[in-house]
Amino acid sequence: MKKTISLILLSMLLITVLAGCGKSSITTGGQITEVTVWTPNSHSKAVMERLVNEYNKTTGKENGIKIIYCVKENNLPSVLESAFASGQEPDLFTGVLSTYASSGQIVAIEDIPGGNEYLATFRKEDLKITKYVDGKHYSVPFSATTRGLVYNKDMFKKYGIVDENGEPTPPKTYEEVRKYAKIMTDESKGDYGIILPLKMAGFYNADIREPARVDAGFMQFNPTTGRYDFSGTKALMELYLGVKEDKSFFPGAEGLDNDPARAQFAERNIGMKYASSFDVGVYNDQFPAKCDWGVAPLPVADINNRYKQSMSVGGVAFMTKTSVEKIGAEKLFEVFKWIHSDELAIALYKEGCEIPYKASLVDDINLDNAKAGWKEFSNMVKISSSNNKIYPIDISGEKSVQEVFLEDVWTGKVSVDDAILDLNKRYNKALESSLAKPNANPLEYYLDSDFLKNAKLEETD
Amino acid sequence: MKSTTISLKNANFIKNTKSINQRSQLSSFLMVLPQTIGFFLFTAYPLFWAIRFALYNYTGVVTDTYFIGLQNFVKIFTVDIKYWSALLNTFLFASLKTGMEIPFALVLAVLLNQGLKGSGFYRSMFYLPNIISIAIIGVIFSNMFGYFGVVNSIFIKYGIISSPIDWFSTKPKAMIVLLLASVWNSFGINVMYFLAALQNVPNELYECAKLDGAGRFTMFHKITVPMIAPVFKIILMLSIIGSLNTNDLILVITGGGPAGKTHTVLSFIVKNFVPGFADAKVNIGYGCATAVLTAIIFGIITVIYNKLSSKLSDIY
Repeated sequence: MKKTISLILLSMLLITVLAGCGKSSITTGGQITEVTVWTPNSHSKAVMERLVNEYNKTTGKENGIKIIYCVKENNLPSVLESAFASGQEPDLFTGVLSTYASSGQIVAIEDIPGGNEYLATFRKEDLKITKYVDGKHYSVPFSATTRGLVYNKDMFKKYGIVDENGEPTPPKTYEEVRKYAKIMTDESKGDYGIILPLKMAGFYNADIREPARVDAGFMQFNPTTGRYDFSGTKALMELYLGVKEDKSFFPGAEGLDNDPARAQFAERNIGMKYASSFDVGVYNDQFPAKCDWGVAPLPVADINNRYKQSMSVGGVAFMTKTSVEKIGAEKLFEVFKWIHSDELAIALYKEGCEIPYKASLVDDINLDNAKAGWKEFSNMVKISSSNNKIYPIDISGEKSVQEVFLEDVWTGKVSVDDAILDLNKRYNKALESSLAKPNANPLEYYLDSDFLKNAKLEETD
Repeated sequence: MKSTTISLKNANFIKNTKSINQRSQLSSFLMVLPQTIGFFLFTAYPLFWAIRFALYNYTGVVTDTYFIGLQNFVKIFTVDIKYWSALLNTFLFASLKTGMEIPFALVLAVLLNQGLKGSGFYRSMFYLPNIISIAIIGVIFSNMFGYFGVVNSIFIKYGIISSPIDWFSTKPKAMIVLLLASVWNSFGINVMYFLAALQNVPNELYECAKLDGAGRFTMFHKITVPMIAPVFKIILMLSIIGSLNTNDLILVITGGGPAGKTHTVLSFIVKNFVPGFADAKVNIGYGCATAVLTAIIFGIITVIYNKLSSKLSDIY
């Protein structure tokens, strides 16, 4: 029944969803093999299409490969589900590792001829994030999304937060963030120190969990102990309460989503905002900033005890298991290697589309016409880390950490310490329940005794 | 001979009638077929899918999908305060909205029914918000009631307030914005329904009442209200169901904030358990359980409403 319905739905979807992508893995005239790639990355669509075209005309032609590159902007996971159900899946695609590795729909690099040799070209540390619970790697890191504090240089200058050369000095500690936010807030002039998009669904994740990694070294799950631990977010939560007490934030935070907050930062006098590297496009194209702005490394509670920043790995693609049989492992792996190649990473960096995961790739590249903030966010890769695996738990029905912050901490109902105690207790209880589940992932997969040692930011970084 | 001809004619007649009936039946089946297919594909199948997965731990990951019986439901009743709080807020929202919207729509319909000049224009204007998308309405009201929005500017200009109001910082203020937006969006359709009902009330009744010396209020109370009661029952039911089902407006204007206090039960479910809105690895099975329970509660409310309002159908 399920299969029949899936087929009916798919036949309807074929006209709209799959239109233009063609059927995957077609060998034409016995010479050229078409390899289909599906991705949700619409921001680099035009550039990627050009680069794919160049590849098809040169290297691809020599190797008998033609890449069909399709950007699926609307809900790629659902489209993939239908495609897999009806045997119309692409040869390579971007998705969530656990979903497809657990169902056996993708092939591990180790199982492809030459795969082990290819993996040996990567640092072991870099491959941790793409390693699945079965100990195999299904992809490799390609690009990075970094974090930073964007600040309005004009505001810093206006309020005298500058060095001896008159250059703005962004805050390095939470103490400085609070102090500077207070200095820059003058309601009569419409100037505000910081903006907090509390309505944003991922506020806790973007503005507390990830930035607080510089204090704790990990994000809520400690890989050295195998326990959930929220104590590392204490200083940052207290900073927000301090800013609230000083009234040095843009008013109406509770009703502010991230897009309006970004628009406000671009449009008016707001001193600081937590941001990600994808905000470069926002402040240059979507809401062009009217101020001179810069990007600073994330502030920290204790300047002498700083860990690496959080960054997300992107651009990872998986190889479909069925495609190994249809078009052969050699050609499939050839395309896989190209879409994760240094050559492509550098090309996309130059075009302002992706920041390479390997920071050293762009060291010698001078971009004269780079968009504001692009170089600064790219440099953050050197002081960031991405390999914090978090054991998945189910807290359905209970207050999530975001709800605890917004409903209890921000409103002053519960102290930060009590909130952390409650979170540690409930999340670890949920962890124990998850570990007791049938087919639970082994905790060992999420453990790393050297994690904090490697996460420490040294002077040389 | 004659009787044989008649019986042949009868036989032909019966045969033709049968054929017509068969053709008629076939065309009837063909006409309802698209709807039936649509019902099974987009209503029945998802419904049974949700009921099934309400009994599962289901995150979308194959290895993390397994049968857990009624555990999800037990959790809703024993742990989940947020669900019940959202449900209570739904009833509050629905009561306030219906209480504001229905009398307002009725008064406007009665005024429009007087045949005043420009009635057609007003009718169109009142209906206009109903065809504007919820996303647009959300943007309009978010901006109007923003800290630096037009509402605060007008209030300050006319000295009603001295400093801007943060409309989305507390539940009561955020609920006011939501109610205004929701009523503005849907009162027009109720005006249309009431107007249609009012136009079906025979004029003779009013003329007789006037001869008997009845005043305007008495005529409204004794003639208009009872005469439109059956339609009123439907309008009220549609309004209650519409209000209970409110979710997109909440998601667009407040996102459930501040601190999740303005969530209706459906916006709560969508925000927390629907892929695309919720976290990537949320327990969709638990979300299905909340949806199934909500459907049962709403079903019970509808049955109670139909029982309580049955008298409205046969006043006259």
